[in-house]
Amino acid sequence: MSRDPETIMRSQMVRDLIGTGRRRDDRSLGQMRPLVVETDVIAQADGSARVRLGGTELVVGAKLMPSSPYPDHPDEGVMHTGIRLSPLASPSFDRDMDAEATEIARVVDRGIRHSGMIDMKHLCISPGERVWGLYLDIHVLDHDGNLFDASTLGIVLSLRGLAFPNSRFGMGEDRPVPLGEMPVTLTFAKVAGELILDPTAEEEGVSDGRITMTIDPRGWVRAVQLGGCGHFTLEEVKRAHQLARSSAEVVRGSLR
Amino acid sequence: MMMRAQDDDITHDRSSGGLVLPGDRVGCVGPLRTGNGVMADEGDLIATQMGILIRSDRSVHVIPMKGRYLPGKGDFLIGIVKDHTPSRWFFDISTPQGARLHTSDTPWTVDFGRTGEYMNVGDVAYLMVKEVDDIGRVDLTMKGPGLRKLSSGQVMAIMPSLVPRVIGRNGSLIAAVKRGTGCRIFMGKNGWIWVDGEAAGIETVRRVLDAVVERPHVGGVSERVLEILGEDGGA
Amino acid sequence: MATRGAEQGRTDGRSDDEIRPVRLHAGVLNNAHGSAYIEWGKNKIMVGVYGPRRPSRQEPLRSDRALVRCTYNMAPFSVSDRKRPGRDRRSLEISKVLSEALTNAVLVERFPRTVIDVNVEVLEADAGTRCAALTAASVALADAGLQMRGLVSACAVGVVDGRIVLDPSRDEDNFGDGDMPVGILPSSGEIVLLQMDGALGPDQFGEALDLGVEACRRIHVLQRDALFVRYGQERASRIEKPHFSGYGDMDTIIMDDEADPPVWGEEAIR
Repeated sequence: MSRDPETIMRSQMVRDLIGTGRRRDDRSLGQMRPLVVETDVIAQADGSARVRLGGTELVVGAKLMPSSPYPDHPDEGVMHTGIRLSPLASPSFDRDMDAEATEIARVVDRGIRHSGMIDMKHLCISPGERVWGLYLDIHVLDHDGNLFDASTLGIVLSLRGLAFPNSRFGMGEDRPVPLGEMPVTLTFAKVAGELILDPTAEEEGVSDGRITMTIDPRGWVRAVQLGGCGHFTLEEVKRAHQLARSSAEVVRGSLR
Repeated sequence: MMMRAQDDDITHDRSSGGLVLPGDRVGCVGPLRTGNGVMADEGDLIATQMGILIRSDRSVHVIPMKGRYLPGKGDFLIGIVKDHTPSRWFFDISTPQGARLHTSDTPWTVDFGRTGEYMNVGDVAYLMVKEVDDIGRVDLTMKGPGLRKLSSGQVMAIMPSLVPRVIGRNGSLIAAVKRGTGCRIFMGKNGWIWVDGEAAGIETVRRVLDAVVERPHVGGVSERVLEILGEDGGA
Repeated sequence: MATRGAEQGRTDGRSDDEIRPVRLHAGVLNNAHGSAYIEWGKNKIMVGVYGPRRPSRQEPLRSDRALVRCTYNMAPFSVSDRKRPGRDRRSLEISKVLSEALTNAVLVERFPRTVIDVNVEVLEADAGTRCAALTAASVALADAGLQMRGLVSACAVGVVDGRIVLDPSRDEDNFGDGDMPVGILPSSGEIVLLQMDGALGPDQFGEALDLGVEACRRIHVLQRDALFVRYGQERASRIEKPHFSGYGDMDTIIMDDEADPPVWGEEAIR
């Protein structure tokens, strides 16, 4: 383990570096950090995964519980996505993080929901009476930026092993939940006029805005969120879309 | 006598840089002076911090493996400007809350609203902690010998607990590094070190810090440092 | 040590004085100042420590010492039926007793007007989470470089069919007659955590307490090993790859219940 004296970069230096096309961790501007994943880590969950994206680490647990359908969608299951920004994950989480947590959970939820990875009709047990409630809970353990992309990855991986826990509820044998294609979420930070993929916490801290896109396997956009008190030009947004489409293929390929 | 002999055995074993954990017995209360990380507990000396036990003929202390910097009045440190108001600068000093410097605590006469002309975001300064108030707010001063704004250069960070190790006895080690590399160096108690000079010199300083950080407990830190200075100086 | 109750057996095949397998890592998180991850049976718990620091919220701070603020939280997916996120009465009580136990271990008077945050995240729960959490939390505090009187080690004792058993499993906890978590400062022998519910006979109480304290000393060996392994001075008896893997090149310590655990105070003097 190396314990080199660390160079303190001032925010201007981080920006200047990115302006010359380089990053502190020697990545190119459009490169993701190393990804380490592990599935079926929580025996109590019906599907689970642990994701480490660079210095960001989280655990996702998916649980299925019998529930009631919404009256307007009697034959569809219900899905809930939640995230805990545990104070152990960052010194900056020592305060009310509800707004941040809610935004991440909702953006990630939209991407999963609209990608059709889970057909809500498959979660129906008895139309109008009983359906499966799918609870996706994200637990952040270490925060070094880009929780959006890591969260979607964690959910997608936890869903891959998801099974209906029929036996637990006296409904016969467990069986796998049919899955559609997986979406990929990609977040770019705008720093010094450049779009950088998969920003670290330091890069997020100096950024002039953030754009998050969830892309399905056909290249369709399934969720978008602009954030981080910044603005983007029309060209920048279009470029982010192009970059997201090509990067999504890379990520999807690496997870196969 | 028997007890003493046994104690001396550990002394021998552990003064070569053994890891101790909080609660470990490291000797008996006696003639030894206790330093950082050691306390007396009913006749025994116990370690109170995880780190490397250092015993000499006269004293026993622990070099912590980890530790946080908590600002104390009179500490000299390196700060980086992160914001300014018409009459104050706010500094990052490696603590979560940061610290502030009022224009009246500088050697300059700064007109209201013109703080940014003297120091702006990203600028580095060598400062002293003037006061820490009840709720932990830190006030800095730049009035005092050696305190100043530092132009160019770069800031390196090491564990605050290792700063005395880099400075050496009576400043001998850091003086040798300055001589050997021709670099200007300011050491902050917060573990931040400002270095400026030729690129090769800065690289040597980095190697020196590396050597101290990597094996702070192994004896002969000065020898290793002098070796590095010798190698790089000759090149 | 005599193996008691082997003829009756326990649901998971352990002897009465056997602790479930324990794996413990120190220093596993980047951001936290100190951290530890423990797997104890099927319990999976992460602990991260921040501090001493000045809190960003307004807090009633003590002018003479640091405030040790433990927050015990269970992940929604940590138990069989999804747990509603957020605080409840059980987690508040556990947070309080853990904070108090750890306050005994930390030299709080060295850090006046500061807060030491101990965040406990239970990722999977399988009986005995508070003992596992306390054990991991004190390793995380040591890992943070805090000044302490010693580590805190903990283990529960249970009563099943009138027999005293160590470290009750979930079944034994649910259907047993009693549960008594015990936590000690092994360096001084002081008891800093003690709770009990159920029924313990007049003769059993002392016996259960003795067994619990002895178990804590076994746990203490694992805590030491975890820190020694992490900081490059390995003295673990047996090393194995973790199940919940991937903490860099870290290896995990497996509790070796067969081997006689060395008594640390004595070994240190030898």
